[in-house]
Amino acid sequence: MAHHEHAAEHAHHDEKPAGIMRWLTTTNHKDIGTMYLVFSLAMFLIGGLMALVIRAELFQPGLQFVDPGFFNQMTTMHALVMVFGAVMPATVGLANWMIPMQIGAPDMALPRMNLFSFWLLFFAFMLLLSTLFLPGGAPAAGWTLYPPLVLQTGDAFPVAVFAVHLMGASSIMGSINVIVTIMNMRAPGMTLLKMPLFSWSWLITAYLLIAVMPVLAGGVTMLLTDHFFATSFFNPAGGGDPVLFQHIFWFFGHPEVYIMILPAFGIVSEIVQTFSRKPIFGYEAMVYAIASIAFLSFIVWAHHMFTVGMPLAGQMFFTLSTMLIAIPTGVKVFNWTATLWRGSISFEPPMLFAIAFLFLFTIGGFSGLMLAIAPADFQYHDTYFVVAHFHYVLVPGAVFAIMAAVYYWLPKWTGHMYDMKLANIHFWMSTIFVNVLFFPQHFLGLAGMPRRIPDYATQFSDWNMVSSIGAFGFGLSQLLFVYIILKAAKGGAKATAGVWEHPADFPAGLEWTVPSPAPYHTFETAPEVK
Amino acid sequence: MSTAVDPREDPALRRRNIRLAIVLGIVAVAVYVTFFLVKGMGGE
Repeated sequence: MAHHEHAAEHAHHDEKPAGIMRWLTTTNHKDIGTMYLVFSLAMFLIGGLMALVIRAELFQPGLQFVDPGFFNQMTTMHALVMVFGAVMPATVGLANWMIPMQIGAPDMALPRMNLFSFWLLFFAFMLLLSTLFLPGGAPAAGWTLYPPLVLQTGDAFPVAVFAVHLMGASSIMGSINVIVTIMNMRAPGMTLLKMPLFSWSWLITAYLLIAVMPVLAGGVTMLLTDHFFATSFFNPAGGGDPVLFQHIFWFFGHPEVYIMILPAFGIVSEIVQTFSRKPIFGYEAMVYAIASIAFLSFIVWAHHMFTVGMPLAGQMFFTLSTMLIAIPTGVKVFNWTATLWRGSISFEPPMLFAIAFLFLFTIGGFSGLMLAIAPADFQYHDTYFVVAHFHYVLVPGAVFAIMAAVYYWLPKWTGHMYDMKLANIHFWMSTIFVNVLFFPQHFLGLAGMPRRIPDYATQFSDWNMVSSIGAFGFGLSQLLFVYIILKAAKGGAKATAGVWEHPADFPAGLEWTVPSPAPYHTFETAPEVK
Repeated sequence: MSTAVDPREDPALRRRNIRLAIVLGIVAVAVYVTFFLVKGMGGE
């Protein structure tokens, strides 16, 4: 009798509204994960179009297509859209899909708040994008929103500040959900140190988010009150200090970089071990390395501000603390390499992207070390060298890891294998073009080309042309990515539960124990982890 | 705490989830307020 009641209840739980109502009202972690991923893909394409406007303008010297004001709006909006609309929501989407399945939980701990977080983010971005059509245009002071420049923004200013608040609230609620899910809802036997590294990386990321998103919100609230309520947080005429905003922004901004890259570390760890057919080398060291990087991210912020002026002791402190980050990062790169050592390696698309990540993210890491040296930074600051540095960290770093994750888990989501041949083509095109796009920017920066300008001296022409060709090639390659995903969603060879080969003694997540595609509800009865 | 039962069927787990969420929410609000207080103490 009890069994029948339970079965009826189970059937009830399996019911889902059809059509648009399913997506508007769902509290299912897989649906919400899908919505985050689709949203982030759309933002990736919109932010990419903005990047192409920038690169089209910079294809040759002189003003070609857009006026300088609009160019500045594009650099600002491209960054805001890519950071808050593409990379972060993509990792949140992956977290929604995978964390409950990896740890054996039936859903996220707070499903209604989960749905609210998504729609808050969606609304925030509709607001932010709408500023392009307001008098005065979108914010154009750079994503760092430095005063007093940002206070010259037109009608878009309060709208953008409100949008940043909404994004922050959404991220904080999403992080609370991740922490509560992992701390309270792991399957019996799934101890913290048995958790897959993707879940671990997200647990630490979630704590980082709760610690720093309110700082950004505080900073932009102060901007708002300075603008509309005659306060003087950043106004020297009233006893304020514009440099204070830079401290507040980068106290948020540097950990924000790790918020984008730590989940990528988790993804790469999972993929490297799967396709090396060996458990990750130094699992616990990997966890401690992620935690160390997260901690250090709080004490390095002023390396973004060396040229503003600070005492020598400050320069030395922030140089050395920044260099310390190379130690746990080095541990991770060493452990990924050691995992590959004598592994039975195969090069499916997720592994290709993960290997590219190892090489190309490390280039971004090394140029970061160059920028950490205060006297050298006086030369590099505000040049294209900085643009090359952070794009190496974020594109073949974070974005490649997200693409690797999509190729790794797509068969689990759709139940179909995707077109491997096309995915390989997508990988090679992306990898070649991303280097054509960003590597020459190192040369431009070292030669002294400043960032955030729509025109430049003719001596910079050649490498700018090469960089723009790379940008259009990279952009076009991503249409292939969209096609591969749509094709796999529609059909294809059936995927097995394991999808990839996992040796029996493998510390893989529980997602590989459920069928592909993953049923709408998983782990309603707790699995036992040995 | 490892339980992995559905919070819809376990009020104790549900309470624990909400309690932890509230604590984390308070931490986030406290960080936000702290930045104003620090500026207030150090300002003119």
